Amino acid sequence: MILERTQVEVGPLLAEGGEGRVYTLADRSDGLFKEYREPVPLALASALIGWPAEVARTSPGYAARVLGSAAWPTAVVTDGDAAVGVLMPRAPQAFWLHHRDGIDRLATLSYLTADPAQRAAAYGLSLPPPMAPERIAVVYALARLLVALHEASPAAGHGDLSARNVLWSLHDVPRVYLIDCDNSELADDQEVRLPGPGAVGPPGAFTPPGTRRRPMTPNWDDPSIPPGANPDLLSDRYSLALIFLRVAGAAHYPVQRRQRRREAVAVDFDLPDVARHLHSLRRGAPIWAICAAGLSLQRSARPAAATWVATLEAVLDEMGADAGTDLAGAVRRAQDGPVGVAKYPTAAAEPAGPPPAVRDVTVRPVAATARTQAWRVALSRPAEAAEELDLRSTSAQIRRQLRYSAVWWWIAHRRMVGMVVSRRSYLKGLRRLVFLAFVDVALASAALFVVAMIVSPFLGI
Amino acid sequence: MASENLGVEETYAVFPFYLCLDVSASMAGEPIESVNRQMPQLRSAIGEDPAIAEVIRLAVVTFSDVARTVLPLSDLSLVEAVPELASEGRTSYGAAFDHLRRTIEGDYHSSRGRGERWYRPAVVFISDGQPTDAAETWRAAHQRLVAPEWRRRPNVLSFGFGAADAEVLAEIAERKPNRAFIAAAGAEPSAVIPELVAGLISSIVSSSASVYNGAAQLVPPDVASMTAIPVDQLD
Repeated sequence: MILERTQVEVGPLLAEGGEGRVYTLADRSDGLFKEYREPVPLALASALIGWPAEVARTSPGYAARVLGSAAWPTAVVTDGDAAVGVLMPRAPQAFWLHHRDGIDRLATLSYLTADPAQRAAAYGLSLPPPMAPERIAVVYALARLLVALHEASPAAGHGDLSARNVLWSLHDVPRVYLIDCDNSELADDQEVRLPGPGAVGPPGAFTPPGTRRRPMTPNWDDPSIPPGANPDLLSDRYSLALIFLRVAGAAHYPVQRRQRRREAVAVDFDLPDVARHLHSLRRGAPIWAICAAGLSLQRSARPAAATWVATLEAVLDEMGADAGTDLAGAVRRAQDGPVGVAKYPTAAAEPAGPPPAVRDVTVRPVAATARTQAWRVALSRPAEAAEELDLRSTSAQIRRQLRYSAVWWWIAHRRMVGMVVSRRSYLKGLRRLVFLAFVDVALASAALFVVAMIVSPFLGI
Repeated sequence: MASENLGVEETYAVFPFYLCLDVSASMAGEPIESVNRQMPQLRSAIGEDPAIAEVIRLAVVTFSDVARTVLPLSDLSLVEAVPELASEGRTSYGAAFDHLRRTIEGDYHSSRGRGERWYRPAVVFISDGQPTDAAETWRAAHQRLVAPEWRRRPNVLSFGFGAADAEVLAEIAERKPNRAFIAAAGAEPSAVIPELVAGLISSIVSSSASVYNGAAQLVPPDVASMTAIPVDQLD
C-alpha cells in the first residue's frame, strides 16, 4: 500500500534514532509511522512492503509466520516520488513489561542477557534461570522465524538482530516479536539486489556508495563485517548464535572484543546442574559445535537457522520428556496456528551432519558455579546521613579494603584452579599458582607471627 | 594469541560518571528545585533501560564549603531514587576536587576488587557561581585531580550558568575543546537546568552505546559542532 504523507495523521513522537523518528498514529493505536531522515528509493520501499504477498505465493506458511511474529512494514509513505517513511504495526501488548515504576517498556532481549537476579532486584521481574527451557524456547522461536525469513523466496535478511530489536514474551507460550524490520534487505539466490544505482555483489562484500547504510547495533554486531559495510544473511546467522549464548546463558559473554583483535575465543558456557545430565547438552553434543560455528569469523561455516531449529528442538524435547511438557510444540502452534507445522521437515536447506569445524571459536559446557555477585537495591540516603560516610571514612575505608582484598584472594585462587585444570591456560595457571603460593606463604607467616606475639606472653617466652 | 577462556563472570567494562554539583547558597530556591525535579528523569532514563544501566555507573557529589557524596557510584537500575539536594554555604572548588580525587581512587579499587573493569571516568562539573576559596587552593586541588601521572585521572566536562565564570570553567575542563559550556548571560536556571540534564542524559546514553564497540567514547552533550572524545580503558 502506498500513502501520501498528507494522508498520515501522526500522533506524539515515540522515539528518535539515527535513521529517523517514530511516531504513533493519531487515528490508530496499533500502528506506528517511521519517518526517515533521508528519503529512500520508492522501489526499495515498495519491494519491502510487497515481500509478504510475494512470499505467500510460494510459501504461505512462511509469510504468515513472519506477519504474526514481526512488525513488517505495511505501507510506504511518499512525498512526491520518494519514500519518506513507512507504516508499521506496533508491538502487541504481550511484548511489553510492567516495571516497578509503573511504566510499561518493550520486553527486549536485554532483560534476558544478564543475571536474572540482577533484573529481579532492579525491575522486580521474575525471569527464568539460565538454561531454563523457556529461554531455549525463546531462541527456538527466533530460529523458526529466521527460517521463514531466510528460506522464503526472495530471502530477507534482517541485518540487525540485536537485543533491542527482538522482543520476547513468556505470558502463555514462549514467543518472539521482531521489530525494526524496515531495514531488511531482500536477496535473490544469496545475491544482493538493489534497484537503481548500486552494484550487485555477494553478501558481505564491499558496500557500494549510494547504498542505504544499515548499521548494526554495537555489542550485537557481526565482527566479520568491515566498518562501514552493510550486514547480510550470514550476519543474521552470527546474531542467532550470539543470542543463544547470551539468552540461554543469561550472561554477557562479550565475544566481539576478542574477535575484533582476531584472537581465538574459547567460551566456557556455564551449564547448571539441572541440565548437566541431558544428552543433548553433554560435552561434545552438536549444539556446542553449532554455536561455535555460528560465532565464527569463517562466515561460510555459520549454520543456517534451520540447523538451529532442529538442534534446539532436540534439546527442548529432551527437557520436556523429563517434565512431561512439549514446549517446542507449543511454540510451533503459537507461530503457525492451531493446525501447526509438524517438526521441521527433513527437506532442510542444509544437509544433516556436524557443522564444519572452525578454528577461531570453541564453545564447551562447564559446571556452573554460583555467581559471586549479589544484587541489592540501594535505598536513597538523605543528604545529612551522607556526612557520616565522610567522618567514618578512614576506618570504613580500611574495612572496605580488607573486604575487597579477601574477595580478590578468593577470586584469584578460583581462577588459578580453573586455569590449571583447563589445558589451554595450563602454563599460565602454573605461573599463577607459584605467585599465589608465595602470597599464601607470606600471609601465613604474618598470621603466625601475630599469633606468636599474642600467645608468647602466656607461654612465658 | 589466545587469551583466557571466556566465562560467565566476564562482564562488560563500565563507564563511570561523577556528577559534581554546586549546592552553594546561590542555588537556593528555584535552581536547586529544578535540579531535584530533573534527577528522577536522569535516574529513570539510565536506570530503567537494562542495556544502558549495565554499562554506566553514576555518582552524585555535591559541594559548598565541604564536598560530600550524596549518591555513591552505582548501577542506577539498583537505585530507587537520587537523594534530594539542599543548598548550603559557600563555593569551595578545592573541596570538590579533593573529594573527587579521593572518591574516584577509592571507587576504582572497590570495583577492581569486585572484578569490574572501568573506562576512564568522566566528571561532570556544574556550578552557578565563582569559587570562594583562594585561586591557588582550588587550582592546586584541580591539578591533583587531572594530574597526568594519576592513572585514574578523569575527563572533565564543566557547565556553568548564573554567575559562573567562563574562564574558570574552561580551566577546569583543561582548556580542551568542546568540554566547557556556559549558558547565555541572564538565562533562567529553571530553563537552563532541564536542557543541561537532557543533554547529559543523551551524552550518557550515546557514551553507553560506544562502550560495546570496544572503543568507548565520551560523547559530549548535543551542542552544535560537537565531536566525541576518544576514551581509553584503564586495564
